[in-house]
Amino acid sequence: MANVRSNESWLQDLAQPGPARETALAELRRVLLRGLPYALASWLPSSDPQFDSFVDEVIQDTLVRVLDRLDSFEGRSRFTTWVQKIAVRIALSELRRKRWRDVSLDGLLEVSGESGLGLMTDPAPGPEAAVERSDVMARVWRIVEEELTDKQRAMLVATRLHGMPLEEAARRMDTNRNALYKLLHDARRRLKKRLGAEGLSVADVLAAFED
Amino acid sequence: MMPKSKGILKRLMEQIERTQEVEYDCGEVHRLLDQYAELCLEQGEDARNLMPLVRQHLELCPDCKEELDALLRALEATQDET
Repeated sequence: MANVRSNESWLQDLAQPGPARETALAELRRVLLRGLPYALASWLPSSDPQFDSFVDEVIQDTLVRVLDRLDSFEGRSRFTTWVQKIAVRIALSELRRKRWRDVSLDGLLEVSGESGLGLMTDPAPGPEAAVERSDVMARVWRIVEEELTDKQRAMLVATRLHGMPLEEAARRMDTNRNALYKLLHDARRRLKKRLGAEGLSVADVLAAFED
Repeated sequence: MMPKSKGILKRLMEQIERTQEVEYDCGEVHRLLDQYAELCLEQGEDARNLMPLVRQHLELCPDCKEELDALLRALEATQDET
């Protein structure tokens, strides 16, 4: 087992330029090099030709950010856990950006008929089931239309129905991930309240889709 | 096989059902994610209940959940040297 450093030791060695910082950075690099292939396993396999250069860039950016934000480490975890958290955020942000770079928000909304209604159409129910499902859907989407702003509807469809990452949707809307989460939270709160007021429960809605 | 439309509707309704008046945003969860990840590794399911607002956010936010899962995999792989 490796000699485990204390959080204080990391902070002390990284605080000032010099040999102690260089040694600490080399140790952090080693930790990141070992952990990132596992962290990214479902995103970018280590056999991918771009893997090594991608990981190098992530580690470089992570170490720069760590040095820049040493003061923000609150000691809630081991220092290396905090560093790996930063690396994961940097890596996944970049991979999400690459994965979604060719997808436009307008394109997604067109596919789902602007409101998302098209996505929820069941193509092959029997005649009675089709009527019931259609009624339930009409009620749900009337509520969505009436309760949410255009922006809330568009973001709900893009992120929650199409799976666009919040960060990517936020980038396209010139906002940030936190603000977008709050916008969606407000949308969900409004829908929950209205569904309750109309006496529609989750079970009611899903029951209409039981075979 | 469950129709695609039912899956989508179910997801939306489940998210609405889980919605709370007060929720952490992604920034607040990111700030606590390292602590939460260590608790998950050390105490398993019980740990999740120690930080209910983080757990709740993770159930509603796939982006933050992906980041937790990736972090947990990295921590498991480096446990012996950190």
